[in-house]
Amino acid sequence: MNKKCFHISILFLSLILLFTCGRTTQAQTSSENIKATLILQFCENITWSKPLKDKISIGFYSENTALLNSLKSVEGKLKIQDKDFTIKQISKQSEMLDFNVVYYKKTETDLNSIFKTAQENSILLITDNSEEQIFVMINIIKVKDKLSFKVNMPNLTLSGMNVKPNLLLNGGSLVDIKEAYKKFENQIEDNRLKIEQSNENLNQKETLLAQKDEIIQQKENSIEQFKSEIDLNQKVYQKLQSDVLNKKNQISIKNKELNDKDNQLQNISQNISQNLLKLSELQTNIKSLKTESDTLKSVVKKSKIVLIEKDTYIESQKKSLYITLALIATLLLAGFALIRLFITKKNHAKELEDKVQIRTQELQLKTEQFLTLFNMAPVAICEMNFSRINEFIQEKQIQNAKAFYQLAIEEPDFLIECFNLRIFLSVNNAFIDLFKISSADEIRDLYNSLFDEEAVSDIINEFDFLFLKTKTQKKEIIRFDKNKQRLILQTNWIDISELPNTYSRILVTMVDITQIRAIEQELIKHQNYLELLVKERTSEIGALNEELNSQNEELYSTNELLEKINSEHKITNTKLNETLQELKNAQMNMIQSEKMASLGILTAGIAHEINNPLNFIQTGIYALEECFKDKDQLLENLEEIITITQHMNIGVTRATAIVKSLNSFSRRNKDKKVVCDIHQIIRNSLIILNHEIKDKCKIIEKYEQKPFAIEGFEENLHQVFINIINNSVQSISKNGKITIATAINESMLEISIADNGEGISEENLKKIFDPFFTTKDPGRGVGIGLSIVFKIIEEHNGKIKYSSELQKGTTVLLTLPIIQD
Amino acid sequence: MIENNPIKILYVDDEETNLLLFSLTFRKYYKIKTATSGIEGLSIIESEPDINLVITDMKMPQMNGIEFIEKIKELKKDLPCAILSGYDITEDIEGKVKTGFLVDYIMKPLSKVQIQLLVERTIKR
Repeated sequence: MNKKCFHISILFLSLILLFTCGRTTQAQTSSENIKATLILQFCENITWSKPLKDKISIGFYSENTALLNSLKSVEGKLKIQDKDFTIKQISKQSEMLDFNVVYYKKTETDLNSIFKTAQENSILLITDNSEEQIFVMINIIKVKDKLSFKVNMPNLTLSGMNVKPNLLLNGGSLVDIKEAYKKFENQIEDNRLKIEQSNENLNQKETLLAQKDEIIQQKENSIEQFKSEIDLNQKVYQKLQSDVLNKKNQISIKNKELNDKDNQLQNISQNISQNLLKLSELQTNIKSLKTESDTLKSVVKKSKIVLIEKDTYIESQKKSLYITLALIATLLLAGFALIRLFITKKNHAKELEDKVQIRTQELQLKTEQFLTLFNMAPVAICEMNFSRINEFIQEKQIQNAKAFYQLAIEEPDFLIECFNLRIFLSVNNAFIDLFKISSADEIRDLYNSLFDEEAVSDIINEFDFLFLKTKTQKKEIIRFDKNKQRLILQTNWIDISELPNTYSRILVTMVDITQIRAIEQELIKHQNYLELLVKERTSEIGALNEELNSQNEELYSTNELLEKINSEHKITNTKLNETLQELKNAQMNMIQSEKMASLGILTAGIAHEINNPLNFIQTGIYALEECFKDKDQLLENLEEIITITQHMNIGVTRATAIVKSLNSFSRRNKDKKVVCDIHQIIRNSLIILNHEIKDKCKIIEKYEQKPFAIEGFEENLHQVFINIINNSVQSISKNGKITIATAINESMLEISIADNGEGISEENLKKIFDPFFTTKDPGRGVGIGLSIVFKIIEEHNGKIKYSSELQKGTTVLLTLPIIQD
Repeated sequence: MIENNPIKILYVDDEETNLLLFSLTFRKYYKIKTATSGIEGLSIIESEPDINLVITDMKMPQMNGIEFIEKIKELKKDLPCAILSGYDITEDIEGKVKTGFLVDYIMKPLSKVQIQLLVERTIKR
């Protein structure tokens, strides 16, 4: 009760204060004051869940400055819940958080968010005349000009604020939540309906939109088509434009041309006009000239008539003129011709005279030349005239030489007559000298005596020229010179008469060939003599030749004998060579067969030796396959698998050992001496011979422990041990023992190989190193194995010795030099 | 697979590796007995009468394959014997196969199929 009174008192006090303070604006201020008191009352009657600070802060989120002022006027004077309060203006929603109470009246901002903020932060929200019923806490309303308020209790409790029951005494009422929520639901329903309607509208609109979109698409397509058409048209337009431009250019060009042509035309027209003027001028001239010409024409006519008359007169005159002219011309010509003839004749005569002179001079020269030639010629020449003789002969009707000859024999006077009729024309100096006469005159007298009176034929041949048809004759004649010396003459008779068949001028050249003939005779004699000599000599040579031939035949026969012997020797030589080659071949074959025999042993052994390891691997694979078949038991089988693989490995190692021993057996450096490990060589040889050894005998090895080295040919040393050990194995039939021991003795290595085989007899011991000595059956070894071993040991500067006892065994002792450091 | 009446094979070879791997390979198919020498093999044959087939190597110390089979024929002339060897077949052995002294001569390395065929042939007889 005390509190109630206290509160009421405060209310009245506040009212009075407000009245006294703010009087100017009564109407307004009264409502504002009431609002302010209401607000203060609200603050008084609300309890916050959180404890308040010292001061209660009230936020004023409104434009109502009068209310703010009225509130501010009591700030500091009154207390709310025994605490001071502050009022501040709020401009933004975010400032709300600083206050405990917020008075809100705004038209623009969102009430919902403000309410939310207030609710979340436990701020008392006082709204003024809000239509909203749900999102309010305390809402001041006007009921019939009276200020009242509605309190939304649930919201306040939700906001963490409690309402004191005195609050409602101030004239408010509780918000009817049910109705409010009903209203709110109806609102929501309406809104939902509205939303549905609007959705339907939206759908319709969407369908419309879709339709419109389709239409738009279509329109767009059409637009694109149009665009493309437009482009095409544009292009066409451009083309046309360019065409137009071209045409324009062309037109301009043509215009220019036209202009030019116009100019030309103008020029031409000007010219034409000029010409026209000229023409007119000329026309006038012509007219004048025409009149003149007419006058002249008449004159001409007259003169023409006159001319015709004159013409006829002239013509008559012409004829007489022509005749006279012709006469004169002929006369002149004749005169000229005569004169010319005269002159030419004179000239000709002169020329002829000159020519004649020249010719006579020439003739003179020629005759002189001829005479000099004739006289100086080295050959005797004479010229004779036989014309009279010819006439005489013809008178006598002698037609050939035979008849002449007969007649000459029958009538000796005939010849004398002929001689007398002969005329000598000339003779040259040589002729005179030939016949040893003094002058040409003498010949005439003497010539006839120059014949051998006995030889009628000789005489006749002087005249046989007359019976020949030819103009020349060569013959040999015999004459005598003045000293009665016989001359043999080679004569040449030439007819040089001016007229044919007159024989008026015969040229006879004579060459003295008596000496030549004599020399000929002598030569012939000499020749004959020489021939005789030659014959004698040839007969002598023939005899000698026969002797030589016989000797030659003897030599040939001996030569043949020698050749025979030679060929026989050759045959024997080739035979020897062949036999030598055969021996060599046989030797090679034997070595080869020995090698083959040992190789046969080797290869059989090697094949078997490698087969076993292969078997290990193959059966190992089968065993592994069996293990892997059962997958469940794989782990249990693991141990087995490991043992299987180990055994397979054994196979691999054995095979590799064989191959290695083979490789060392056939080393590449066969030509060089290398450092050899004798123990390894022995082991290799044992491996190679393993298959032979294993079922027959035991091997015991006792090797020198100190280190040493031997220099030698590896392959050959292998061959040594293989041969020796093989022999030992072959001497054993069963349960044998071979002991191999090495020991150093001073600077030599002693190797002993001892077996307990069948042994070697004393006689054979001497022969074992002989080539081709063997106790085996033919085909099982040639017997050169130990001879080769002996050679190899020699090569290595070593020694080999065999000792044996039949049925007990054989021991081989090898010594080889050790390399000294 | 081993049925109620399993086939018993005696394999004789001086290499123990061969014996082991052979038995591992065929143990699921046949019952395998092994021996390292002819003498041991003969004692097994005397003690176990139900051996169906004897396979032996050729080259063994003391007694080779042929001698071993001769001795077997003295004891049981109907027991089939075969030789499994690394050596090539000779005329002598070919003759022995023809006469029936040997059922077969198989060359090493072993072929599983050959062994199986051999067994089939001997059992059918």
